[in-house]
Amino acid sequence: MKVPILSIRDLSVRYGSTTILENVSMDVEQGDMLGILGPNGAGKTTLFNSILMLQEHEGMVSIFGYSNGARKYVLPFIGYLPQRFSIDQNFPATVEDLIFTGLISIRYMKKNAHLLERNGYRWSYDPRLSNRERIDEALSMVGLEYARRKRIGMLSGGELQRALIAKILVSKPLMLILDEPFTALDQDAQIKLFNILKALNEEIGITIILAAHDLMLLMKLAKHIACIDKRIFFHGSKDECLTTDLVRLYSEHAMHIHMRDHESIGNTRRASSSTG
Amino acid sequence: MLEILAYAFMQKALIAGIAIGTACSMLGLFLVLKRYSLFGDAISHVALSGVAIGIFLNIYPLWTALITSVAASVGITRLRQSTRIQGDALIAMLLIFGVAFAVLLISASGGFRVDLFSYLFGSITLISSEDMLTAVVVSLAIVTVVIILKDKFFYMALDERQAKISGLNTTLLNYIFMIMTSIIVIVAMRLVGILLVSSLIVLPNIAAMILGKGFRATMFISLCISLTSVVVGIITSYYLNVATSGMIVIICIGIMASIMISKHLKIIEVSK
Repeated sequence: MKVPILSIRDLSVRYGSTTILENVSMDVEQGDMLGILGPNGAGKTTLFNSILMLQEHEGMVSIFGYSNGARKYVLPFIGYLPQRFSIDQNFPATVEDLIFTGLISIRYMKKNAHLLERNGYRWSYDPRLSNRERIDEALSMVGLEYARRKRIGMLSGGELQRALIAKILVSKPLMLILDEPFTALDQDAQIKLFNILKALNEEIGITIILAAHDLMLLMKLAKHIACIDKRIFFHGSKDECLTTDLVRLYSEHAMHIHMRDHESIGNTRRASSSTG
Repeated sequence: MLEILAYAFMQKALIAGIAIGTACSMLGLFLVLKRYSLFGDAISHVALSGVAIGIFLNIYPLWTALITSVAASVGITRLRQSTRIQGDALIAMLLIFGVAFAVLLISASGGFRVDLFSYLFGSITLISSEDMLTAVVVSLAIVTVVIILKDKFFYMALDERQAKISGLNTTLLNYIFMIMTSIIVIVAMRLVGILLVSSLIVLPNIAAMILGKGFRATMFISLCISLTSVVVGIITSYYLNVATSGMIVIICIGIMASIMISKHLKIIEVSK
């Protein structure tokens, strides 16, 4: 059997005595569209940063079957859209310039594509295309052909989000990690992005992991849902999600976390009062 | 018409000026984009400490300036990666430290001397053939590296974390970039002096960015503005008998002001 495209075991992240993530474990299979749901501060961004080696963590993370340090070599096969990407109006980059930066990783990907193949994954890179054709293709995938020479500082929020996705797609990643891509978009831009993501997943087969606050939206888009608040308290298919009492699960979970934090605060207080 | 071009000192000044102006404007674009506009200033002030060390120990001051500046730029890059202090705060710290340390050393070595002024305000028309050759070789080397790495530097200026995920060795690239900046600052000190060195790095790029073009066009426009200011500045300062460094900067600001005014009056079209 093929190794999961992403596998996480007992991932924990702590800053001093504060726990951001605790014993997170999950597997994601190729072709999945996993929606990650959780309140602000639940650790969604930290989870992504840990997967992407931008954050120190405990536990094991493996991508395409390469765990911990070795995943550095296959990291460029993941396209990542950060939660906030702000750009100066004057920043001298056109949409084309932005998408061009996505091509820079191709050199590293060519070098390491054999690592993917060893584990049964194929990078759909076509060496016959020119850079220009690649950029054209990425632009048409997100419907931004008209904005090629526009400066990115002048794009609307939705256009910038789609341009950033085109920048990711240009190198043909096998998996996308999107941190709250729908936040701060208006209805129209949300629908456009929704359709693009659905097509990428269903027609091209790109594995997508995305974080969002909006359960309704995730239910329509995702195949699996994971609910997270420091720990994963639900991970299952959309159907399971429908039949599970998430509210009850969450309140039990929140109660547990709250009790524990309360206890630890009490412990700290006791400790400090005994030393003081 | 321009009979002054026959003078050897003028030829040397122009050649050195063009070389330094090219390297400064190309490196400067990335500094401005990284919001590190004042980095050149900080490095040049640390270089003042280096000059003071040289005068104090009786070593050729440009060498000590180079060593202290490179050390400071490596230090600031490390600090930026390992601490949570903001980039601009780090630059301010470095700048103040550079001047304070220089003042201490200069006073200890018997007060301010005349040669210090040539470091503070530049003396391009007094440079030797070796100085000119150094400027040309260093600038050529830096321009070559920037041309090779420009797409990577641009990606990092846009989003360093994404660049890292894409497989770029961002740590190494940052060091290369910062070290190149400190070297060009030291070389440019001869042209416009410590106090104005960052103008060559920052001003042409800010002016070019107003025009709102893409990355490559902005780089090219900035280069044109930089070279115009340097050449016109050197020549007019000779005729007007004023300080070259001041003239170069004033002309650069003049170009920038005319771009802003033409943009405001819609004489030139700014791309959207």
